[in-house]
Amino acid sequence: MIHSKPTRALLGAGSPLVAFAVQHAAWSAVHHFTCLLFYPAVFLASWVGGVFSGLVATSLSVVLVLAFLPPPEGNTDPANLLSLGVFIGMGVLFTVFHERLRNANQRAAAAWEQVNRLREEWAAVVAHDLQQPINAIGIRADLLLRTPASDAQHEDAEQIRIAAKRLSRMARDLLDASQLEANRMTLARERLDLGRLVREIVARDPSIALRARVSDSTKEPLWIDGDAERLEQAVGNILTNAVKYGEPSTPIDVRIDQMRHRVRISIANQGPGIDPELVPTLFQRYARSRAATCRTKGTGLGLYITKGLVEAHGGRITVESIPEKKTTFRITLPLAEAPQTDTVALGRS
Amino acid sequence: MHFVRIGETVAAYVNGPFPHGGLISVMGRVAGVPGTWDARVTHMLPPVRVLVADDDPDMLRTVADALDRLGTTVVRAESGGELIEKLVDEGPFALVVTDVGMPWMSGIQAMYAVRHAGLETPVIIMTALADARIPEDVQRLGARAVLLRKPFDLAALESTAVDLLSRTS
Repeated sequence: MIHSKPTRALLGAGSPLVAFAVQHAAWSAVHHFTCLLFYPAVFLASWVGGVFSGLVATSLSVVLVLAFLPPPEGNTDPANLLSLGVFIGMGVLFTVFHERLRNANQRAAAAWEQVNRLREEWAAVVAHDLQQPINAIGIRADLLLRTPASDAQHEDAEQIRIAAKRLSRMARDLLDASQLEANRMTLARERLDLGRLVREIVARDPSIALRARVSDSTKEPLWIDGDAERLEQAVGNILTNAVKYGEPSTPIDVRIDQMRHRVRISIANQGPGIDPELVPTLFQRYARSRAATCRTKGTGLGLYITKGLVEAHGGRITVESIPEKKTTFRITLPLAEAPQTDTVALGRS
Repeated sequence: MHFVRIGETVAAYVNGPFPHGGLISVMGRVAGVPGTWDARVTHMLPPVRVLVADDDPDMLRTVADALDRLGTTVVRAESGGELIEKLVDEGPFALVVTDVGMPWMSGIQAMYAVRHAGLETPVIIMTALADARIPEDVQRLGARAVLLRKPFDLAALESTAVDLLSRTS
């Protein structure tokens, strides 16, 4: 599309000339309908070129018709004058209404921007203010757990701690989802060795470390440009799901393959699998498994956030699930060049 | 740091210069007698002086109490300005633990000023904000500055403090 406003205005204003040329060539067929093709010309002029263009095109059309395309009955024939009058009226109407449409679109876009901005501010409040008391609850529960007390009191403290952790995770998920939705997720990227990062992610959580087996397709380090913390969040979520929903005590296969310009992480677990009906909406917000084995409640945002984080890195995520057998998630990420210097972060310390 | 399986529990263990051994945190519950191991975990930080700053009074009280229970001597500040004041008037401190978002002067700005004045006190910067500029700002404070994201649990506060203190002592 031509973006320059003056160019568009001029082109629009000149469109009656095109209409004139065509009508002149086909005069024998259209001579009773002197304004015929000037209607679409004026419509186009006011749509593409704006108010100026529309009004100029209307005037130009009238001049061209009067001067060069007289009907057989003559210009002053009342029917012809009426027809010209209707044409002028329509030309003005087209112009006015296109302008109103443009203004309405602009107002809607501005309102949309404002809603998004308000949502960002709200999310920031959630992140900051809500997390403070949640943090305090969690730490106090930890302190209770460390002081001599009865088993029952320790159990209470532990449950408080777990609930606080869940609250905090939900608040953080809401913030992350909101940022992803508004395309405002900021990543702190650095050169990372993906194989090493994945191994660190697995090792960090004992429940995953006990079951996951990581294998590389190549001995060379596979460099990517990524945010280590966010990648841990994304990959960690898939691994945690594999532990939660997979068959207990079965291994979780984590494979890292190098492809031409990308690297692929495949995470496969055995288990009941995902209901095929749910697969298309799996990565959408608030889509949750209806399966009876769904043991944990949450915000339904985990996979949505994982997908958002992967795509924010320029990657893709897919899932393949064979019911009652195996579920495989595949994350591909673009490869980066090997770093020049030796001061590079290999995963997190 | 490595993981060790103890019965029904997995524990994170680190070697440190501390008299009671280095058991940092227990993940999962111990189905046993808590009393036999809590003497080891109650005082996990050396008895150093720590300055804690946060404009949220509940957070300030919680973090300060936690550090106190972990064996340190805690001084409290409620703003970036007060942080600098107390650092100067009641120093020296082995560690500063500060929130980022405080009115008038943020924790990071206060620490920039402190570094500029030549004080290399190690600092833990706490924040609930997801702004990606904060890790960069913390990095610019040098190797003696660490970012701790809120919400964190007691074990994370502990291990971060232990790690920083053992690195910089």
